[in-house]
Amino acid sequence: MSASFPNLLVSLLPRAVGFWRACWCGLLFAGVSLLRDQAEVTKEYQIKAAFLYNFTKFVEWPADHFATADAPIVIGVLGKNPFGDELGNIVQGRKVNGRAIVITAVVSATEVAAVDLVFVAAGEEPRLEGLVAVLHAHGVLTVGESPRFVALGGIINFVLEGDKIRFEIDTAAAERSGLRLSSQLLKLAAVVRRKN
Amino acid sequence: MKTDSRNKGPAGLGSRVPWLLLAGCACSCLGAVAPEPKVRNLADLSLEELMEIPVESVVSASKYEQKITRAPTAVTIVTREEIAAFGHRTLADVLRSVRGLYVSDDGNYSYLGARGFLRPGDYNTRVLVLIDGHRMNDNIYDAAYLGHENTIDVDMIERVEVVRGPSSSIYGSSAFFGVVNLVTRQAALVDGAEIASEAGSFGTYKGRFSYGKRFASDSALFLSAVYYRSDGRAQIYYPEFDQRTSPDPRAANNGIAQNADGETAASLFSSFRYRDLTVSGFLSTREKTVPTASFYTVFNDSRAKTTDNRAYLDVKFDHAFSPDVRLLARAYYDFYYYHGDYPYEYAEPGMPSDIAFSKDETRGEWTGTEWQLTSTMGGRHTVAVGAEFRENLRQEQLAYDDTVPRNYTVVDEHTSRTLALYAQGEFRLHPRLVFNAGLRYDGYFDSFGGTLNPRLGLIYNPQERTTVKLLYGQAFRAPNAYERYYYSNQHLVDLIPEKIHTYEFTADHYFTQRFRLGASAFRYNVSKLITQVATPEGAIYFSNLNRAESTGLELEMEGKYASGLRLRTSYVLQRTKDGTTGEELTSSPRQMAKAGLIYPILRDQFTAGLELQYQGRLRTLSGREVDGFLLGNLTLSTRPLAHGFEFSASVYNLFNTGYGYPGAEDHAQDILPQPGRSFRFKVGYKF
Repeated sequence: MSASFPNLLVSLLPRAVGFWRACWCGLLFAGVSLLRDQAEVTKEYQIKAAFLYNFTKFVEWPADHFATADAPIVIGVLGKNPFGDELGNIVQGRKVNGRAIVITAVVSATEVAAVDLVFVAAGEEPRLEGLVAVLHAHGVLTVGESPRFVALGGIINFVLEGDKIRFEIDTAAAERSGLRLSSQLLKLAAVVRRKN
Repeated sequence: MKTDSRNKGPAGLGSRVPWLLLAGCACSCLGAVAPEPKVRNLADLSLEELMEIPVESVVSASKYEQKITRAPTAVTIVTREEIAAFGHRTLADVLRSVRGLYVSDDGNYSYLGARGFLRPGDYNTRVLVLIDGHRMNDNIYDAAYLGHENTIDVDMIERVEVVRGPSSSIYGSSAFFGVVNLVTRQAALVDGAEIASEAGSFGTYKGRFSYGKRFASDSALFLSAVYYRSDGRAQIYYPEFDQRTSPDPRAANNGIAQNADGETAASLFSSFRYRDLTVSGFLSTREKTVPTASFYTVFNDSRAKTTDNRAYLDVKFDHAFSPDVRLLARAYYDFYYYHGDYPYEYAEPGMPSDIAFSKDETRGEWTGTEWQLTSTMGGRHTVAVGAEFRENLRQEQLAYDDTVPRNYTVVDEHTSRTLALYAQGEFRLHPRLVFNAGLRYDGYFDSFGGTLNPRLGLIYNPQERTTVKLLYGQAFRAPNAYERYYYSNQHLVDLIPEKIHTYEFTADHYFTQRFRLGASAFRYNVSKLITQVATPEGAIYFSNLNRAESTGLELEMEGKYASGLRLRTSYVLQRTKDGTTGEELTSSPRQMAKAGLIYPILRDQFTAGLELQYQGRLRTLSGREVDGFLLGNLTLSTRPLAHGFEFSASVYNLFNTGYGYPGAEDHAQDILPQPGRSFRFKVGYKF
């Protein structure tokens, strides 16, 4: 912009001028090369993806829930998928209790009944209406991120406390689905709603 | 990529270490493109660790929580981790690191400049500082405080939200150039007790005890106590007081103020939450010796002192009636006390010294309540309506000569009240377009009547990772009790509020979620500035006289990488103009450049924080042009190690730059020289 800034630096730090130029060029280059990096997931959803993976370690599904001892845990994303490929990257090559984890997109009631954990992004709750009974019947762990989600009978709900991600748990809803959540998970929850 | 930057490290040891650190960072930026390490990192974290990672969002821009990209202003957030990594000692240090802001210091208080405005003698009356949403500006001077006085210690802060531009449409008076909200740490995250002590140059020591705990899931307690003392600089040389070269009759001691920079401060903050109810309390005191012989006092007299005390009690009720409707109610009581001891020489030159004290005493007490109802209208739109009532129980100003009996020159006691109503809405007109509008009425029934201030914003996402904002706002600053009552001639003029109209365009683009480029262009027009003038007979009073304008461009680049490396650089170009004289404003740097780098040396365990801050040429009050300067600060810090210990070591003014800040009307000094290189060492223990 104006010439006096570089000039001042010249007088203050004669040796650093070449460096400054190199540094700015380097950063510019970094910016340009980063343009090609297509991952477009916000930090919030990277963290939430890691949360989802973690949740599977603290949930006990009903005894007859899985067809075989090594059947994978299926995580479904209902409607809009805010994770991009992040969720797939997170669970890739990982096993929980000997089960691999598979990610799938779900839209209809039949599809929802076939998953073990379903994530409902904010704004996608309307899709849940009418599905709640199906989800309970099939022992599906529901995870959402809005106050409406709780009102609709969701089990785990992400909330922001300050700028940190927390979650609340509705144990009554979990019981209706025949799910057992570990006490460790309940201890970490910001809010635990029990039966009235 | 790690080996790459490590190889650079040792090669650069010596005087050029910081430069090579920065170079190393540039290399690491390039290396960080590969996504694998980050993904593996996150999945390997436990739930507890995931809960510690901050997602950036902001409360203070619209009073309800919203994502930064949707806030109708240009917002910067500084987190606790950054404050620790850069070794910031006060709020002034934190704000110095923020794009476009600059802070000066006169050896007593710190003064915040924004968008090229830092009026000499303005005690931060045009910036609003909040602690967890509680208004901290006092009710006599409307001043905000940035040092060890009248505000919480930086170690109690979870994050600082800096909201640029006018926010009177939500916060009323003083939210003129910006709002700074200090969000305190959460009890559940402190989870236990902490002891920290630090020692630094100039005989500086600080001790802190904090305790935070969440009991069950519905109640939590946080409390923190801090004691701080500093001898200050043993000798400060002011050429204006060097009797060998200066004609000033007060000149003495070869221009050296000796042992006249001491400071002692203590504060206590606590908050208790039970379900929807939070009660918080704050108490602080500070005494500062004034080295500058301001207000024509005796030079090199360590009895020139100011004392500031501040307290508040705040009860907040935050309840969600339904998923869509939330009520926030607040009631508070605030207290402020200021005392100044000013030694004056009454003897004629050449006669034996006859020093007598003139004292200032100010007491403020106020109470108020605030109600806000927010509805998210099914998630599509957000509407908030609110009301605020404030009763100034006491606005007392005294000035007297400390003789027997006391000779009072100012005795003024007032009470006053204000009522405000506001509404604010965020409307999603289209999936990619949000319209934000706010309007607030502030009634000052005891003085000028009322004022209405709107703010409008269009926030457009042409694509997922780009945000463009078009903003217009108005704000006001009501004449304060000091301006209205301190000088007996003031009844000659009815003061009205100062007013600002702003236009701003911002664009932010996330090249990836880790790399952001932002730009902002602004135009600020300030009118009816309250200015001190004198009658032909020499009697001082205030009048709404001046106009001023500022135009500028801000650029910012931010990169955050999975390795823990963070870089934030900014450049600001601005031009200000006094509307009356057409001249450039004083204390208004034409350009500023900043870089902040957090470099993980041993993963998260051991980090280096380097700051470079360049402040460009500016004009002082005498009309002189002063060169710019470059400051560097370096901090090496650890995270809590085994057994709960953590350490941090800082060097401030790394290059030992000789620099100073412009003085105000009450200073004989045109430039107030600032400290050279100094050090701090800090140890914390958590249990």
